Order: sequence, then C-alpha cells, then structure tokens
Amino acid sequence: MNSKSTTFDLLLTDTARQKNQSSVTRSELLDFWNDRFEIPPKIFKEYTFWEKGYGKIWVFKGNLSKSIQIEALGLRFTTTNQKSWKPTTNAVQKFGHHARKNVLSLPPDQVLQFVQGAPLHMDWDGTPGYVVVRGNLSDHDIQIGVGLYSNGILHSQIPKSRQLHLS
Amino acid sequence: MSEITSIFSRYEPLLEDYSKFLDVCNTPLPYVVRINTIKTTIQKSTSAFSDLSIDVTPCDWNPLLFQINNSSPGNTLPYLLGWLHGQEEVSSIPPLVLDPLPGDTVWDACSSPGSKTSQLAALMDDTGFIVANDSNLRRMPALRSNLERLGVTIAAITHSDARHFSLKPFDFNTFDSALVDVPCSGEGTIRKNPRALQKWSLKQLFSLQKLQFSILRRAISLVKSGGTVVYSTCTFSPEENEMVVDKILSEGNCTIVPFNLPIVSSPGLIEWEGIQFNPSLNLCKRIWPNQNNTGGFFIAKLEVK
Ligand SMILES: C[S@@+](CC[C@H](N)C(=O)[O-])C[C@H]1O[C@@H](n2cnc3c(N)ncnc32)[C@H](O)[C@@H]1O
Repeated sequence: MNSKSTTFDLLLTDTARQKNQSSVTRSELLDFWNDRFEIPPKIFKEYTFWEKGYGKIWVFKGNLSKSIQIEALGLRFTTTNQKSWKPTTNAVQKFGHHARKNVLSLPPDQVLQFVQGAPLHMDWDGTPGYVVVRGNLSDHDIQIGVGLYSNGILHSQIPKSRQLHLS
Repeated sequence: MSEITSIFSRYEPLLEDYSKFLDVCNTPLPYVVRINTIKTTIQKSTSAFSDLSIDVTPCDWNPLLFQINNSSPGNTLPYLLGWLHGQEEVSSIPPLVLDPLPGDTVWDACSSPGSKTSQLAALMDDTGFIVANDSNLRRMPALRSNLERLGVTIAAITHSDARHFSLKPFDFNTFDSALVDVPCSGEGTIRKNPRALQKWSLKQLFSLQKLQFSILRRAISLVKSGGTVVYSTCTFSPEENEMVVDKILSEGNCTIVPFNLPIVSSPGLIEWEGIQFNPSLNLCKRIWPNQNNTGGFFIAKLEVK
C-alpha cells in the first residue's frame, strides 16, 4: 500500500491483486458484507472501493483509472484495520436496507435511546459483533446506524457528533 | 446611521421600495431545510415531520423546501438519517439553474460546506461525477461530513485554489458544467448574520472581484464547448456581480444565456455608476430580500463557446 495516507488506492479483485496496493481486496470486502449482513456483492456492482490510509475503505460510485491524492472520494465505508471489520454509520444508512442478517430492529423508545448513544440491554440470538440497527418511522423502515452487540448489550456506534440530545 | 443604512444606500436607485428592503434586511431569516432525495422522499419526510411533531411550513415554489419552526433542526431524527439539510431558499437556486443531468461530470469550484454540492448530487440522482473543490482547509470537515451524511457517493473532494485548479489527477480533460459559487462580501446574508457587513469596504469589493473573476475564468476554461457555467454570489454589489460577468464576456469565450426563475427577481444591471455593461447582462438575475422574503442572491448562466 502507498505509504502516503493522502492517496486513494483502488481495491482490486483477488486475481489482480498487486503488491504495495491496498491491504484488502474487493472480494474480501464484499465477502465480509455478504457473510455478515447477507448483502450480495451485486448490490455494489456500480461501486468501486478505495483505501486511504491503512484499513480505511471508501465507497465511490463510478471508477477512476488510477490512484489519486485528494481529500475524499465518495464516503467512508468500512474499517478493516481491526480484528472485527466495522461498517460506518453512513454506509449502513446508505446500504443497510439490503441487509438480511445481523439486523436489529428497535422499537421507537429504544431508537430514541440508541440515537443518543445509550447502551441498550437486550436478549438477541444473533452472532455477537457489528449489527445493522433499524427502526421504523411513519410506517417506513429506517436504517439508523451501526451497533456493537456483545454480552447482552447493544452499544451504539453513532459518532458523538451525530448523536441527538433529546430531553 | 446603522451600518446597513449607510452601506446599502448605494442601492437605493436600484430598488422600487427601498424602505421595505431595509426593513426586511433587519428581520431575521426563517430557517429552511431541503429534503435530500438521495436518502428519502417528500412523502416520507412530511409524514415524519408530522409524526415527530416537527412544525414545518412548506415553501410555495419548491416542494423540497420547508421552513422549520424548531430551534435546532440538526437535533432531529430526520437530520441524523441524512434526510434534511439546512439550506436557505435562495441558496438552492444556482444548482437548479445549472440543472445537471445524471451522468454529468460537474465542477463545484467553491463548494464548502457542500449545500449546493449535495443538491447537485441529488439532482443527478447520485449518478455521474462531481469534483467538489475548496481552498479552505478549515472548511473541509464540514464539506466532508455533509456529503457523507447526505449519502453522496459521486463526489471527489479536492483542496486547491480554484484559480489554479488542475485536472491532472483525473482521467478527463473537461467538465460538462461548473458551479462557481464564489466567496463574496455577503451583503445578501445580512438577515442571517447581522455582522456580515463589519468588514465591508469598497477596497474589499474590488479585491474580491479580482478573485471571483479569476475563479470564473478558470471554470470557463475547464468546461467543454457548449457546456454551462453558473456564476453566483450572495451579495448585491455590482462590483462582484455584473462587473465580473461583464469582464468575462469581454474575453470572448462565453455568452450569457437566459433562464427563468420560479421566484420573483430583477434583471441584471446594464449600467452602474456611469459604467456601461454588455447589454446581455440584463439576462442575469438579482434576487432582493424583499421580493420573496429571502436572502439576497445574484445568478448568471453562461455557455462556453
Ligand atoms: C459562498 S462559499 C460556498 C458555499 C457552497 N457553495 C455551498 O453551497 O455550501 C465560498 C467558498 O469559497 C471558498 N474559497 C475562497 N477562495 C477560494 C479559492 N481561491 N478557491 C477555491 N475556493 C475558495 C471559501 O472557502 C468558501 O467555502
């Protein structure tokens, strides 16, 4: 991978993988989304994925022919520099409606807790780890963000700056 | 005499009802949000407003805009979900005039904090390519977080001086169109920011004019022949508006094209303080705060030769 963290490098498919390019491949990334959330790779057909800085993956609709040094390209998608890969809030808000596994649907009162960053105690029989947190607003499903479920607690991963302050 | 009265007296000859203009300038602007069609629909948002008891008044000329009577619209669930973006009514006009199509490659020369960039992306159904540029590093985080929250996946953010913007990092040579929403003296934002005129001076208008002209000229040179460039400011001063456009026309690489607006406006000036401009400048539009109870704006639509 390019050492300059200002550079976006394209994630290539396994076969095209080159040395000194990205730290993960497109296929590994799409496998993760498919395994964890059952979002099939075809959903991302029009998108390319880019790494800027180790393990920080961005999603961009379209393609560019070469690595590029800019401030942003599409939106941050997944962090792969930790043991459990972690989707971003914005990625889940954008693509979470396709998820069919490891989705937690919260009732309205818990949605209000979750968006304020509060941990929620609950029983759930899914695999511990990152989950898509869904709610309902005016009879429509809403994709709120990412939660981390472990030991009977759902920890809100809504970034501090995005959390609501409701009285 | 207040700052407003002493500075704005130069515009008295341009206004039919100058005292009403002054009154409106002294009245705070209502807070308006735009529905982000990348992540929601008008119907979903209006149901959410009513179910969450968010008090809104629809804006009569644009079904995507709502006046929101809530002291902190950023602290609501629809905002967290990226359904809403706080954007003044007049600020939503330049992207509508540019009218990009899905699939276009668009340059947003001065884009922070991304209100118009995200609106352009919505108009393009988040399909195509937008290069959102700004020269101010401190304004980058807001640009980035707005575009991400609003679910825009077709934008590349660049940090450079628009006057010297280079297409080198990219694999194309021209844009289909460009939005040139330049830094300006901000006279038209007085209702939002009563201190907007604190740094006002004629000297400042002329130094901004120089910067605005160079940015506009760069945009004209980067857009394909037949492509559109929209030039806009949130100020009244002819120095930053008609004079900039008049100067670019005299270089001979673009023409002014007519356009209609869904709100009341006045034609661009063809003369100011004894200086005559190209007569086609009357095709530009000025929006005065008292015409529609908004902020002030100037818009020119240009076609590259
Ligand atoms: C009127 S604001 C743009 C508002 C933005 N278009 C929006 O709708 O959210 C003007 C912007 O121009 C930027 N700017 C100033 N000088 C510039 C230059 N030389 N090149 C590029 N951007 C510049 C400022 O940092 C500022 O963000």
